Amino acid sequence: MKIEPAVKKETGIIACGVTVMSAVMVGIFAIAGHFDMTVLWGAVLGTALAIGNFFLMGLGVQAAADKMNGVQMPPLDEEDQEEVARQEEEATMFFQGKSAVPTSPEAQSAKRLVQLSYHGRMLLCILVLVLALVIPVFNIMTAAIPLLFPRLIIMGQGVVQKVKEGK
Amino acid sequence: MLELAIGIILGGCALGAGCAMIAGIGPGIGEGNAVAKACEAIGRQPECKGSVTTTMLMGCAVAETTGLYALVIAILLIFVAPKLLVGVLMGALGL
Repeated sequence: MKIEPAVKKETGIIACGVTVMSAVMVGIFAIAGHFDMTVLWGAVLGTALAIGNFFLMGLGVQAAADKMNGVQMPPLDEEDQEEVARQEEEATMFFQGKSAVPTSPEAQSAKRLVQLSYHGRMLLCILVLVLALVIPVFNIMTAAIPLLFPRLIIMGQGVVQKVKEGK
Repeated sequence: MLELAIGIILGGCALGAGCAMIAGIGPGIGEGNAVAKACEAIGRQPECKGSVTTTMLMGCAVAETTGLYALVIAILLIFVAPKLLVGVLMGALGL
């Protein structure tokens, strides 16, 4: 399977960000006087897990998008647009499950694929974190914390983009 | 009495971990819905596939963090908290 440039680019950004943030985390542990080899190995494991998890998610999303190859859906007509606007308005007030129902079988199949991918990745994370707990070589805290870094990096990207737009 | 206290600690930790993992259900449903809608958008405008995929990827990553928070909390509650809390209890009782 050919990996799309968008997936490669985003995985690269996340990989760099997670590596830098993990290094900072290990530095903070060292400054706090809690540094030992388990902290380092835990950080390595957590970083690899965070990057691998994001990459697998990218592959899942790409596979879902590829399901639409050759599928031509009709553009929204005026009535559809009014319906979408109405649903968006309702969704802002409270959760509307109705508005999220896919209208094509390919989209339904993509939805199932991503949900399956999510549960698979979650099981992988559980397995790796339990292994980090059981094997005394790894520190569980430094193995678990890097999993939360991708969100911080994405938020940081958003801030940087806004600052650039403001200039 | 001590056994009862330890039992309550262990039971509370297990219940807490179970409750925390309820948060793991939402991201799965949300990611699926978001991707399905994004796929429909790609079907309508195939020329936007790259930008839609990038946005979809970012959205999925942000949504997934909620599940990961829940997972980390649940694992800490199951494997780390009981030992810590039983230690605190023993310390308080001077045992």
